[in-house]
Amino acid sequence: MNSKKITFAALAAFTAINLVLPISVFSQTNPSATKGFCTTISTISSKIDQRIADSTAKLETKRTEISNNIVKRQSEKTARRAEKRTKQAQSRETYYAKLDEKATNETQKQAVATFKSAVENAMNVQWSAIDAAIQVFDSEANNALVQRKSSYDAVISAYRSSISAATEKAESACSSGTEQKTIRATFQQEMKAARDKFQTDRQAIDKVKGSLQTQRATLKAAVNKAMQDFRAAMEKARTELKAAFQQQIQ
Amino acid sequence: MASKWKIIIPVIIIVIIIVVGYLQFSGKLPEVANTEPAPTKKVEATGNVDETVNIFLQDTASETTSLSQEADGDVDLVASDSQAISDFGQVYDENEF
Repeated sequence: MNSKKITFAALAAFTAINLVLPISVFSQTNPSATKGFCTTISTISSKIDQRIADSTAKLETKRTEISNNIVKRQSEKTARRAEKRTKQAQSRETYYAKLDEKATNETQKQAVATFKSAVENAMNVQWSAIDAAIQVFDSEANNALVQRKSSYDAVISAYRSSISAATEKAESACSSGTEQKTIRATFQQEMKAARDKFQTDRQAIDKVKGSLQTQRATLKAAVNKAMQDFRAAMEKARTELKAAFQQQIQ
Repeated sequence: MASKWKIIIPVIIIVIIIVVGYLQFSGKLPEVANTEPAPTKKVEATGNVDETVNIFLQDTASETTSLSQEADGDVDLVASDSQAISDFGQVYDENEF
């Protein structure tokens, strides 16, 4: 019975601690409210500077990672396409050989040779068109990366300047003996305005992603056009070869 | 007897959790199946004109699909610094002043 009471008491204490602890740990007392805004402004300023430095370092690391990945991906894509095309070319030789086996006279053998030539030519035309479209897209992706960096750097720089200006203004007002409540309110307003502007400017830059999506659509259209042309060439080659094989049956 | 089970059952549950956790992190549990589509099965060359042409068309169609997926990946990659940029919005906390 006693052990039940002890267990219950322990559970109750544990629950109470868990309810109270997060509040006491995470709700930090506002330092400027207790010490006065002007005594904490330099600490606030140092913290903001440190966070800006940390965020800048993090962004630079991420940018380097993205840039390296883009280069790596482009190189891997080119290698993968080349490998795939080589394999397909080798495979096509097997099909040409089999068609050649089926040809029973010189006319048909010539028709197979013409077919092979037409297919290889259509393949090369298609690949050239696709490669050109990919080159444009890759170039645009590189440009988008540079443009994005430049645009964001400008926005971040403006944001930092606004923060510095607000901090310096607050420090100056503190030195001149302005009422701390007023300084604090102005500082809060200016910091909020700086952040709001940063968010608005960000949204405008995110349109860069939209422009790259347009390039992606252009790439897709170019690839589809190359495919259509290839199909048309293949249908022509098919019809001609079938006609040559048909003549022998008749 | 009943009080024994009150101890045994939680112990069994804890042992199961530890074993499953160990297998999960040691890579001994089966991984999620690779979602990449299997390559198209090659049709043997027969000398049939239609089959031959269709195979050639299939080969190039698969390239179109790969290109489209790769381009999507590039677009996402270019914009993947978004979180790092968002962090600038958190450089100050109103509750601090």
